[in-house]
Amino acid sequence: MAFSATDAAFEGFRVVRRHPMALIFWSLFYAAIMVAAFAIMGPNLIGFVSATEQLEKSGATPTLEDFAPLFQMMGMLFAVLMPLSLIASAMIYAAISRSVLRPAESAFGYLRLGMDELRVLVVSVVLFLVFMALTIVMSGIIGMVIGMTVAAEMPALWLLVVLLVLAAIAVGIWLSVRLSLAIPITMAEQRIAIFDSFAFTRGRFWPLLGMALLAGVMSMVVGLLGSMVAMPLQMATGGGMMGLEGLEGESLQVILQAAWPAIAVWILINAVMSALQVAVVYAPFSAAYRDIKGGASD
Amino acid sequence: MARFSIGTAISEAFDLVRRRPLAVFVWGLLMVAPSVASMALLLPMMGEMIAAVGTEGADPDQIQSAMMGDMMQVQGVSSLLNLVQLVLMVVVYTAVMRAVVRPRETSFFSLRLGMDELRVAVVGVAIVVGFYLLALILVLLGVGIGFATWGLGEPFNWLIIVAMAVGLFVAIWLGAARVSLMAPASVMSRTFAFEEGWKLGRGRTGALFGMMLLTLLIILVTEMIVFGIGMAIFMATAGGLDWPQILDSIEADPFAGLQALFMANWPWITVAALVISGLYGFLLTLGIAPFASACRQLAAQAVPPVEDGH
Repeated sequence: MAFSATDAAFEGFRVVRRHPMALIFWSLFYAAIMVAAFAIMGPNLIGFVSATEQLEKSGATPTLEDFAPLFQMMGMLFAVLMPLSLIASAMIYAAISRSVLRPAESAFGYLRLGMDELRVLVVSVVLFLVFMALTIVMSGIIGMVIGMTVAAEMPALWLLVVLLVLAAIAVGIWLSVRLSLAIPITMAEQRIAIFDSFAFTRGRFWPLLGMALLAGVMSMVVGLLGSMVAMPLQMATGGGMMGLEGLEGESLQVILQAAWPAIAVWILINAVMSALQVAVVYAPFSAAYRDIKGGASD
Repeated sequence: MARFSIGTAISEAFDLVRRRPLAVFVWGLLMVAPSVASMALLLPMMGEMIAAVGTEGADPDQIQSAMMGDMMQVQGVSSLLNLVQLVLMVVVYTAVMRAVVRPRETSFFSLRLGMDELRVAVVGVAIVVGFYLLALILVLLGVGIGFATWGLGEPFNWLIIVAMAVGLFVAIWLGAARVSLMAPASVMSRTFAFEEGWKLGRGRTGALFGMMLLTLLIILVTEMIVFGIGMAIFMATAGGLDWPQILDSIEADPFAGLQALFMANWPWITVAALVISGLYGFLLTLGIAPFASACRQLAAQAVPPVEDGH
């Protein structure tokens, strides 16, 4: 099958239509992650808020030493949440890719925790580092030009700064598209394949960019339609997470006792919406790889 | 190069109004209904909120808490109605395009809720997102040019600012004309016709822009005439109302006052809403149908005519 951007952009919906159970598994998975995150973050976040309030009430100008316990608390939170979020992301990306590339392996909604997920995790981390490095380099160049512009008092150079910012964004988009098939290739060929994506995306930049934009827009439309369902449910159960404002500073137990219906509905809605949106956004890339590979071998 | 006739495109909109007046009325009604519903739902809620604030001797914390609850409720209902309005807008816009490009599909006033609507929604959101990005890039460039040329001093600074503002405005309108065939082409070809719509508009941006201005002008003139007639009717009939009492009640509580006014005059307001629905349907048809017609004319010259859907 030859690659068609508009066809591939719909793959997320096709996956859900072929295997509706996958959406249920992914939603449950997201719900479990949210509950875990809430359980970990809830008490710590309350502690963080109390510490910040105490600091504010003291009236004195806070020093770096005053901030140290706050940084420590945040650091501890991220130390737990970062790995959890990375593993969860790798599992869900791998599951979506598997649903497109190996549709027969449908047990547990395509969710696994094995070598595929480890490889996806490695690829994700490498891609993150590549983009981080690119951001640092680009920011450095732009910062240098800004410094020169200010030092040389040459206002005309501000135009160059703007053009450099736009060029940096364009480079970021170009690289994102050229590396966008790294995870599908890694999943399909069961080996870490980061830069093979360049070969597959050569000459297909615009269709792939169009597909990605279309998938993003469809995810927005899904979000809008989902909020039509979500809003009455949230209003019926106390206004969703906004309703928690009055419970600021209370213990986790008190929060749960007072607002469990709102929290449960919020978690349920967000789990289903996240699962659907992530499928709509990520499945097209696997479909693109499958169709490009298929088209090439035909 | 394929061409389209602006005259044919605009007259096709009028022809549609003449052929299917009931459908045009229903389209307008669907667009007006959420606004009426939002007034009917939100005015009492806002009135209650104002009444709660005015309660003497009540605990300020209690009032604040009640206010927060009421405000969240109002916000929730209003957001929900906005979303419903967006969905209805997509359904109605698609119906107008369908009535032009697939004229045989007349059942349910050409209204559907299916893949055509999803495609139009996606194309619409994509165009809006694209315009925001384009505007962002142009504004960034404008800031860069502004910084670069600020040293020229007055009056050049103002001339540059005005030139850039006009440039941005014209660029956005020309851009809108350039992409205006994507949605009708998607309805016509039953696929995401970003590429087809773009290709159909190639070399016709000026003509599409001209048609856009012309329809806008017709819409403005129609609105002014109808507004004038409406005001004349209002002035002729408003003498029968007890204005001091109405103004007093609105001053005491604007929301409750307006609610009472609407309740007391509901037959007239219903008639006005129906007239506005008809007018809105007409203006909507005038704004959308010409582009669908242009799309059909251009596509007919590009490929041999295809069989209608039914």
